[in-house]
Parts: sequence; C-alpha cells; structure tokens
Amino acid sequence: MTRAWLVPAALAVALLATSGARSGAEPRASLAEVRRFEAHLEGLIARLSSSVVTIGALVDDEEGLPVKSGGSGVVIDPAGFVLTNDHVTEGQDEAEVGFADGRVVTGRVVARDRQGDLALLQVDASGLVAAEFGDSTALVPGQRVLALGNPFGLAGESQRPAASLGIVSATQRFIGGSKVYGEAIQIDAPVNPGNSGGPLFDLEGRLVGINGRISVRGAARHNVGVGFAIPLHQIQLVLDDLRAGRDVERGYLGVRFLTEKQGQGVVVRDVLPRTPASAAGLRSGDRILAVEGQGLGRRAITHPVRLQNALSILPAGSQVVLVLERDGQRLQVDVVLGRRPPQ
Amino acid sequence: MRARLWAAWALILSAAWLSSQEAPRRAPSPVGAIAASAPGVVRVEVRGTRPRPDDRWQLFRRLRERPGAAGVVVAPGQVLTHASLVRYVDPQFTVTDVAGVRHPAHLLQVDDSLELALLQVEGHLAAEPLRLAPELPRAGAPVLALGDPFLAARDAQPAASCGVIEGVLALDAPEVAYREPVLVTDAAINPGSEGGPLVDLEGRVLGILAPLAEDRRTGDYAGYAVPIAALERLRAQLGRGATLGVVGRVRDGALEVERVLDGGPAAGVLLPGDRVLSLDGAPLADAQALHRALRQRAAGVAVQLEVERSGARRQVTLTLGSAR
Repeated sequence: MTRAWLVPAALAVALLATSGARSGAEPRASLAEVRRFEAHLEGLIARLSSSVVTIGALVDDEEGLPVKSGGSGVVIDPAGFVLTNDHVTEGQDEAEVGFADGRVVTGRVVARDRQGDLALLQVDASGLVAAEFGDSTALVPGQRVLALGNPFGLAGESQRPAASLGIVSATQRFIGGSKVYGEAIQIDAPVNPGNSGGPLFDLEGRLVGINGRISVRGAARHNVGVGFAIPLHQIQLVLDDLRAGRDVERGYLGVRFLTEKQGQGVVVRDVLPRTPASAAGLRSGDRILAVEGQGLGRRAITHPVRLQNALSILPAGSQVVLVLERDGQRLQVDVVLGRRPPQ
Repeated sequence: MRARLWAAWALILSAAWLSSQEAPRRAPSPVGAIAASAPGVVRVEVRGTRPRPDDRWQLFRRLRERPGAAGVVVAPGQVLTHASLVRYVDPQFTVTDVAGVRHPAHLLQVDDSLELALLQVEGHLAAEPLRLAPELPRAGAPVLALGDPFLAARDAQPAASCGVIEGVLALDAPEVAYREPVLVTDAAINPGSEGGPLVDLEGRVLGILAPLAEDRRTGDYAGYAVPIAALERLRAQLGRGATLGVVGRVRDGALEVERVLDGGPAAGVLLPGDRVLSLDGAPLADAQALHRALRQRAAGVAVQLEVERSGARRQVTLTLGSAR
C-alpha cells in the first residue's frame, strides 16, 4: 500500500522537475523583440552621433615626417572640450575637428596624458552636445557596447561617424608599452585604424571608454575582434588636470614584484632605490594586500596584474595607501606616486 | 489511507513550490553565459623538448607570441583542449585556473583526427566542470567564443566574443583534421583562443575552438569549433594505451625490431633489425621499462628514440599509435 502511492508521487515529482527545467529552455527572440532592439540602436546612434567627431591632424611618422592622421573623438563638455587619443594628435598643437552636422573647425590641444594615450582638445563652436558619463567600473563581460568613430577615414566630407556593436569581452586588461592601458576594457566590436580616440558607449548611451588600440594578426592592421578601450573611470582621474591645461604623467611606485601568484596579495621582490616606494620604506618581502586612493576607492590585490592595473590608472602625484603584511603584521603605508619613467 | 494521499499531495506541491522558488532564471544572454562558463575555462601552457615533425598546425603557431592556449574543465580535474597544443616531444603541461592557481598536468589522450587532447590535472583543480550541450546547434544560433586571444590576459581571465553559428559543415581546409561537420562561427577567434569553448547563451559547451583554418576555395580564414560530441570518442580510447607499432623483443638493453606493422606509427621510421636503445632518453633495460614508458604516454604523443642501425646510432621521432 505504501509503495502504491509512493510510485505515482515520485513520478509526479520527477515530471514536475523535468517540466520545470524544460520551460526555461530555448526561449526564442521574436521578430518584434529584434525590431525593438534595432529601433533602440537606431535612436541611440542618431542621438550619440552629435557628440562624436572626426579628427584630422598632421602627425610625425616613424621617420619624423608629417603624415595625415585620421582619428575620432568625443565631445565631453558643451564648452567645446573634446577627448581623443594622444596618438591621434601626437606632436601637434592643433587638429581639424569635424562634426556630424558637417562643420569642421580647428581644435587646440589643451593638455595631454601621453603615457595614458589621452589628449584634450578645445574647439570654438556653438550648439555642442556632450556625451553623458557612465560607470565603467560596473561593466560586465557579455554586456553589449557600441563603438562610434571614423574607421579608415570613411566619414569623409560628411564627418558622420560609423557605429559598430559588440560585447565587453573582458575587463581589467593591462596592456603595457610606451602607452599604458590599465584596467582596459576588451571589446569585440570592430574598431579599426581611424576609430582611435572615439567613444565606447553602453546601451543606455553613456560614455564608458575611449577606443584606443587593437590586437592584430600578422602584418595587416585591421580588426580581428580584439580591441581595447581606456576606461572612463581612469579618464575621470585626470580630467580636471587636463581641463586646467596641465599635462599628466602616469604614476610610479618603484617596486618589482613576483609576477606569479603566491597566495594572498602580491609579494614585493625588489624596492628600487630613490623611488616613492623606497621613500615610503617598502621592503622586499612585503605582501601588498590592497591599494586605496582618492577616485580609486579600495582595490583588493588578488593578483599581480591588479596591482599593476591600480597603479597604472593613477596619475603621478596621487596619494595612495598601501595595505601591507610584513612579518605577520598588518600595516598601512602612505605613498605619493612619482612619475613613471619613459619606456 | 486518506492521510497518506494528502501527504503525497503535500510532497508534490512542495516540490512544485521549491522548483518555482529557484533563483529566478534569467533569460539566456551573453552576460549570463559568460558568468556561467568563464570559471571553467583555464589557460594551458606546454613545454617540451622540440616540436613534433608531423605538426600540421605549425604555420598558425608562427603567428603566436608565446606557447599557450585555453582549455575547458569537462570533468573533475580533467581539461579538454585542442590537439594542436600537443606539439612537443615529451610535453609538460601547466594548467592555470581563473583564480590564478597553476597546476602541473599530464596528457591522458590525444587524437589528431578528433583535434582534441584530454589532460589530467595533478592536485586539486577548484574549477567545476562546465555543462555540455546535448545536441548540435543550428545555423544562426548565437554563440560565444571564450579563450585568451593574443594571450592578453595576465590574470588568466578569459575573454569572450559574441557571434553566430554560420553553419554546421565540413570545411575544406588543410588545417582541419576533423572529417565530420564542424561548428563554423563568426565569433572572433585568434591565436590563444584555441582549446577554449564555444558556448551557447546558457553557457553550455557546444565545441572546442580550433586554430583558424584557411578555406581552400575562398582563401578566407574560417573560425570553427570541433563539436563536443567528439569528447565521447576520445574518452572511448582511454586506457587502450599507446604502441610503437612494431613486433620485437627486448634483449641486452634494447628493443630488437623484428617486424614493422604496415601503416603503423613506426612505418617508414624503423626497420627490421633496428635496435631501440632508449625512449625519450630513458634506457630500455628490460621489457618492463618499455611497457612502463608506453603506459605513461598516450597515443598521439611524439617520442624520441635512440636507434642503432648497422652499427651507427641515430635519433628518430615517431608519434605513438593507439593499442587495440
């Protein structure tokens, strides 16, 4: 008797469980949903295009000869401030700035962050629409993003930008070199030569980064689905300086650390002499657990690249607190970051 | 009796309630798929003495910066990756999980014709196995390719690219060894992506990414993944052991070759009368030494043999076959 009802009960439970699992499977996007998404994109691109500019400048090539560079930029203040990459206007005081309504005006380079690959231009034009700022620290891999700009200089006389859609492939990338991209946003939205300096938007139409460089395969310099954007939160750390006309340099601590993960935090291997780190009394063997700073908040250092990242997005002169473990004791050390030596 | 029926109903209803109270199922999306699958993606690095002579993926490798690619946790402690990673004689593997922990690993099985290699991680691998998709995707299905293109990740976090299945079809390209339809996709695949998973929007593994293939007809580079169903065929080979494909006997510190099996791994490499003195540097003192050496290696692995032939010594390399 007991068995007689147990079997149907177990069957019923099993049926419920499978039907529950099945109900979530394969929901198909209806055409109406796709159309709605497209309408949203169309509206977004039309609205955002008025904040996107083309930038033409004469830059020095590798042999020091002037060549015409095509790039992109974004209006961040109706007073005429335009943000772009430093490498778009390298070595120039002025650049031609083209708006989606066809106007072309001359912009003046106000200030640069050479290592951070940023340049701020000012134009004398009315009726400018500034891009709204988003929160680049909140980006999640998989989230869709929109890149606007002037790939291959295709905007031409019309000055109208092109859009490409992709996802955030990864966050917290560190790409070193003479230009340092820290906490960079990796995207698969196609960006190509000419997109440099252009904006990356989230699907709410808020600025989250500046598209700056791509990884390429072999000799061809075209997109293979791996692009990197400077995150807006890094830009915001230097924007006041740039607006005031002060060039910015990247911060420097002066330690070498073990690059392989050794339990918690990151272990200092050497403290270089006459650096902010040696002035602050850091020692080899110190375990850096966290970095705190204004505009940075608190960054837990879970991996060597997190320390590299946190330090790379801060400008020289930033005051940071390092949370350390030394001989089993927790301590905090104040450090004022110096200037990153050129690489 | 009635009380029992009520109890049964209570059980059914509470089961129904429990299943409705599960974490709210988010609609399948790239964000959810990456959150579900990225923790099961690892980095695989390989070191070895020298490249295999029969390396069909050589050209592609010249484009990469340093050795390494991605892998997928498919069972506790087991990592599936692309066969192109097994390109050294006596390969040594290191698997790094998303938490940044490095583990040594050894090869369980490799099959070039399936384009797959299965590794066993030594020590505890914290990453949970990923769910495998039960069937082939259809053309047009949205997918994500996870891996580490250009090995840009310094913290072992994989990157994802979104695309669609362009088709499930046989590719006509010299690099494609898998002779059945593969999952062709427009999601970005680059050096460092291979071995990573192609997942659906629920984060289930559809296939293992391969190096790009140059289509013979169009000259375009096509990105593709080997369907995950091939894993079962790779597993079926497990435990069969590896063989040199010769008949002979071990005597006086050498394997004396009496016959070379036609079409076997040693065909065209060894000759009757050859004396094999060592395998990957380990002397073949007795039959046990030879069996031990073969047991420790999977079919598909290249080995280096020291051979004495007509009084002269030479080094030869061959790829072990699968023992039947």
